[in-house]
Amino acid sequence: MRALVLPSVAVLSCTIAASCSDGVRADAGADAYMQISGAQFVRGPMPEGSPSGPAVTQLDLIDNSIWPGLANDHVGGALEPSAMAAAIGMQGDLGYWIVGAGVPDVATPNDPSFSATAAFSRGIVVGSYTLVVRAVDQNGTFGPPKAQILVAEPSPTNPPATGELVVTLTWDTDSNLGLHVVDPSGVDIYWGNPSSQPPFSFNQADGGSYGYIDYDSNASCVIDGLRREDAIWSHPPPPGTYTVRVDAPSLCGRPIAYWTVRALLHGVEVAHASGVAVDADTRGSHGLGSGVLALQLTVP
Amino acid sequence: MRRFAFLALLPAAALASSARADEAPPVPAPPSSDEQLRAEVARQGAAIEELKAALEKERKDDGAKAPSSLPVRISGFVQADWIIHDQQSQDEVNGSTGQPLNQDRFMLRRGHVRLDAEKGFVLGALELDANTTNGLQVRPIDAEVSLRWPAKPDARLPSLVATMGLMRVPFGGEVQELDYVRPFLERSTMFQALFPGELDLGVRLKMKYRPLDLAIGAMNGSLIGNKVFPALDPVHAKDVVGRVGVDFDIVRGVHLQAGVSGDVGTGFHAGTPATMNQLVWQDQNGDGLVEPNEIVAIGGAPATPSQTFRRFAVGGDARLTVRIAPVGDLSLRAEIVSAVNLDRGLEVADPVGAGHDLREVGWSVGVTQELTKWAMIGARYDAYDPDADASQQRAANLVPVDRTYWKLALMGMFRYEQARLLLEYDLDGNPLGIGPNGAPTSLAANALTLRGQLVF
Repeated sequence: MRALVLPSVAVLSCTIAASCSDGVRADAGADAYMQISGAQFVRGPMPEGSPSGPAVTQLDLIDNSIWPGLANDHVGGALEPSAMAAAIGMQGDLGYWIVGAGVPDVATPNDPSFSATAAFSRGIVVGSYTLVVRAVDQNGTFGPPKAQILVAEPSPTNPPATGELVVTLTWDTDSNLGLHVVDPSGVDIYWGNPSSQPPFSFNQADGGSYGYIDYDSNASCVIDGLRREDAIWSHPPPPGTYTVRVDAPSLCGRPIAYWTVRALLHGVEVAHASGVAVDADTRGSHGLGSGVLALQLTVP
Repeated sequence: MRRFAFLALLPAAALASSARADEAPPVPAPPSSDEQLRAEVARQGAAIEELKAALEKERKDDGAKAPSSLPVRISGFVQADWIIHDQQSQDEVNGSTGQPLNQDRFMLRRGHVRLDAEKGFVLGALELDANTTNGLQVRPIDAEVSLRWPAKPDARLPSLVATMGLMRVPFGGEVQELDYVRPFLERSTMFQALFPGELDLGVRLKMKYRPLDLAIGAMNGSLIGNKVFPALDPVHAKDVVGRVGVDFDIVRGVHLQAGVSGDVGTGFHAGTPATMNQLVWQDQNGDGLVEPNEIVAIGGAPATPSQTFRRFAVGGDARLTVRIAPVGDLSLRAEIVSAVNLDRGLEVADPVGAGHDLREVGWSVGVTQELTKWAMIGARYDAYDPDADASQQRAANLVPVDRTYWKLALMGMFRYEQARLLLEYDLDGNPLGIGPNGAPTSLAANALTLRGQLVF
């Protein structure tokens, strides 16, 4: 019996030891600044390249501008003939991505190509970043880096709203929330009444200071990913008290939505509130005067 | 305490007996012993006749009230898992399914309740499964109606059973093995791929005569675990599945079960509906602004028809059990399957989409050893290649790649009556990761699982 048990334990131990060191970790890399679909994410810094490793002969980017939430950004190029893959990462990021090398491009017929579609996290902050690409050969030897500066800018598709008074509602899930702002004259500005300007006015003596809602995000649960609505007064807003409400027409199948409301007067934050929308908030009317009270602010 | 109570009762009993003796009437002269016995027998005979009449009346009344029902036997089992550690686990969700990627959890793997009924030539079963493998789920796992001959087993005659309903596919050894009997946590990867869920709808004829064990069935070919169209049948042609096996003692204490299996059927490639013309914005310069040259017109497309394709599998299985006294049974098991276009559970085979027939090869070997009636240890290695002709573009070359999934299961089990406590470590290899050199490599997926099982 002992003759059977001892070899079995030895084989078992060796197998476990061998297997534990094998393979790559399953990691979606969803918390990284840069994400590449279909590629293998490796958490940690990219290995230092060896001069004997293959080089990246060409790095193609559409341009070096990126912004929070940018998707479908092309990163490609060519590698030296001995390369089998490209490692792509941003300096300071949580890890890097491995992309297999493909057939040579017509412009570089002797060099394997690589191509990836990158997306950039919403959490990326405005500033400069360095994109680093290294070629990797059959033996896993990383080559010298090819670097490119990326400049993160405010998103052109979702720039921060500007105006004399801006009330912004943001939330965290793909739900349909709605911003209501009741101005001092008692007009409720919301998706059903997107502007406080009367349809036709003979009297413009107030200087045309009307507020409007810029966008109805996730309307009817058609998910646009924006999760933001702004009420904007481009000109100095009428003095008085403004009441801000948050309505939840639908959570679109999500259990909950955490929201935040900020009010900026002349570019300075004057009020802030946060809360949560739950299923009970979706019941009842979602028209004029609906929603829960988020905050009140007084404009002098 | 009991002794004191007994002593206290003694005087009372004595008083009672003396009182009865004082009050007893004069006793008549006893009849003779024979007369007394005859009278007693006659009295009992009359009582029996009365009971018979009452019983007969009750039966008649019951018969008038309801038709006779089959006697039902209830059984079942529970398998509760604690996945102590799975290397695949991430505290994330799967972007395509919305399901959590964490696997380190407690799970009800199977909770089965089974009803069996039989009478004469007819028998049937209904088995329900409740589990939390992919969320809370209750589903039929076995529902069959059978005719058998002979009505009672007779070793001199072949036993025939014809069955219709939802039943195990008659292929191989592991597919037939009951979940609570199998010593390892789950079936080999090849059977999870080729026969996902093990059960299909159809008809089956089984014959057993001495060592010979035959089964043949016509089935939908869409098993309950199929990734596409589970428990449905998108094609009218049926799959024919069967197994020819033997089951006998080679010598005293050495038992062999072996067989060859086959499956011939028709697979389905879904067509596509017609599409309309559409405009798409492609942000070619990445500025986030819509420009005229970035609007692309995509023309509509006509519908494409669905197509069918042939699929088949052949397999062989063997299990040798040797009784080693006083330790327990040593069991050796091996199985091999070669198939074409049959994968329905792992990498669903679609030769129309792939452009070539998908040759699948799988095999497994295993050993278990009982350690008295209290424990068992075992190991099983299995490998499955869903596409033996797979290739991958690597740099300028199209190179063959190995897409084999393999698993080494190491198992230890404690047993008590109908209960089991099973610990299994699975060493997993697969082609799902990408190595630093761009080549497929294993995505770490080793797992340690503890299972509690009770059969009732």
